[in-house]
Amino acid sequence: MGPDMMKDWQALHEQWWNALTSGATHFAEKTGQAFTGKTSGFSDLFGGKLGEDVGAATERFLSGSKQFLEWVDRFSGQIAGRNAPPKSIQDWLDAVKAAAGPMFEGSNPLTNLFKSMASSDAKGFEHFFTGLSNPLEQMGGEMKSMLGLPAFGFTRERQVWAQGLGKAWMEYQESMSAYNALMLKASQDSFARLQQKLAERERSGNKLESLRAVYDLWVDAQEDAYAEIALSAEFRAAYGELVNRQMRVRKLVQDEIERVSTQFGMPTRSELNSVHQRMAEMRRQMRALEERLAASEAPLAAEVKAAAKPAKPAKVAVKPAKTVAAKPVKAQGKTAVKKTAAKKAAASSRRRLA
Amino acid sequence: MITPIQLNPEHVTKELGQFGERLAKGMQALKEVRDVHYGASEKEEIYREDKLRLYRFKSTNKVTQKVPLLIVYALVNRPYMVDLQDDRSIVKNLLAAGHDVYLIDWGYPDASDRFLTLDDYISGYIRRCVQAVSKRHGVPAINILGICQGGAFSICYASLYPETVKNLITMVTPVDFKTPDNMLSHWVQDMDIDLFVDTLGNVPADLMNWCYLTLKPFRLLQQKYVGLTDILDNKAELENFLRMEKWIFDSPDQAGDAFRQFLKDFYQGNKLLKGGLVIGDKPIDPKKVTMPVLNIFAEQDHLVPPSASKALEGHHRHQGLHRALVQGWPHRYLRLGRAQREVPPAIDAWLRKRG
Repeated sequence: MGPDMMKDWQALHEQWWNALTSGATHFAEKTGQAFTGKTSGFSDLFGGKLGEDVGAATERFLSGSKQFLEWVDRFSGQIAGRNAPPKSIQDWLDAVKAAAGPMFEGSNPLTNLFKSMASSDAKGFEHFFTGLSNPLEQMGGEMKSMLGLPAFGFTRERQVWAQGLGKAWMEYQESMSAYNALMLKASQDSFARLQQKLAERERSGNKLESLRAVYDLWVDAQEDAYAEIALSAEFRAAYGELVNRQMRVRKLVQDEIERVSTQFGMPTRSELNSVHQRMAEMRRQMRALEERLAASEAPLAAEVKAAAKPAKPAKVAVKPAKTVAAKPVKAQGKTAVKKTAAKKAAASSRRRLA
Repeated sequence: MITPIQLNPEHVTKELGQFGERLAKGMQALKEVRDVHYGASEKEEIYREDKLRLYRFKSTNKVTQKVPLLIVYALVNRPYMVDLQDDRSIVKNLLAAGHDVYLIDWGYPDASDRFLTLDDYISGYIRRCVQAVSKRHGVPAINILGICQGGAFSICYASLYPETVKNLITMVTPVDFKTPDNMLSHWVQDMDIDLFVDTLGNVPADLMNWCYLTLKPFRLLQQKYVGLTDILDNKAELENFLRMEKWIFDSPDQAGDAFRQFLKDFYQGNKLLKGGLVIGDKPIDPKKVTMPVLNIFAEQDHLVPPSASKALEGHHRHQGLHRALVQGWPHRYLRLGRAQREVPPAIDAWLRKRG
């Protein structure tokens, strides 16, 4: 590798987008879309008209490709910006690390990954409160100092609720920070994993000759590092606390919504729960009664069946058992006949008893 | 020593050009195949209760197996995975082998189902479905194929009502919920499940799916879709992919109280393995699972690791237990490819031996 190779890399970094978008441009022209290449960034290709009427899978496909291509842009830029091509595993690692972007330096890289999920389906624990501003900010700094103060007066209950929400929110934020720190640790560990994987390939002489191969190996390294953290006792505790604290915040918010709903005469979740609980219990009781009824009728039906033994329908009822498995559709018909006959006999028997 | 990364700008330019071309073609292709259909076999509804539907698949082949087979699927995904498409259908292969196949579709629980318990599912819904199939065929006991969570339910059911189960097949079914490689289980151990369910009510499907995706976030949120460019020029492959995507994200919410007990007793308490599990007011006694059992699991399953399924062997010690290992397929893809070729014939052969 020498200066010529570096020029090639610099040219590649300048032109890779053109290479990539030649097909996309052709597609855009064919479909009457305006597509102006790198000057408009990824917006034409990924965020413009092309992405408006496609389904969730397409959105994810575009999102995945976009992230990969952004990485390609940064990665090729890292190599092109060097004085000399990478000559060692460490050189390549530096390029991969720098291309990973600032998200790997100071925050949870998964946040960015999660944000890339364009679909509204993407609602993890991290996303539940997206768009909901910090209640402490809403209440102003004054509230922070009031969290520990005793409440009193006409609005006492409201004060207690507000203090509880503020405290719960702060605890939730602390948990989120702890969770993010572990995610960051996983991403940082991924470079050590990548280094190991590259060293293994160096020893085995197994070369990576495409960007996709480098990217795939990096993904393997990230998954390995993530799995190790995710299976740690520290993560288990952090995850549990994050979920529990978020639920406490949600519960407090729900309580307030219920209070306001009640004031406006709206039905609340608790009231519906109460109704649904009663419904579930009634369904169970109804099934139990149905079964008791069926069980109490069974001896009578058997008696009727026995009484009707010499009659032909009873014979039909015995025989189909063998043919039922082989021809269930036909069997259903026969079963129906049998039921009807039995019902008629039972009704007749009841009339006799009456 | 030569570095393992040997990127040549010329080759990389070519690679990117090809990627761009596939990307452009792909977007066109994605627009053309937007509506994917699923379901290979015709079926008829034979029983319904609340949101549950019990289906019987219609077969064009002669039914040669006297004992019908009921498939009990998990609550967390839709059951049409067992009959996804013509060349990927466990059901179709079982029908072709002469079995009479039934399937429980749990439906999509809503707020009115929030108080359904595991007892409602196992001693209620499953039991009544088994009764409906048994009655229809005039047999006292039927074969049950329980898949994933449905397998765990089937084990409980077989323990409670052994006289109604002739043979039990468990497929990618967790029995030990606390194996060291079970990430999902690890994450829920410190969760306050009561607070979780009391707050959320039914557990949203989106949240469940999100948890599954975060088991392997880089692979499932990004790499998978980069890899999609490799199959975009193959319409059939693309449709397969989209069909799987639909299935993965077409998930029902989870009935709150059933979820509560499943998480507390199965995941946190590991009671299916350790003992002490009670469904309704009835204790689950594994010793009562006396019928022959076939345990099928996948080698590369990140949702239900093989060790979680193998635990059934310690659990179920009688001579009727058999094992089938499907190599190399992750959980949600067990019904595809190689698994498709191997699983239905294994089930068929095993059942035939037992009549």
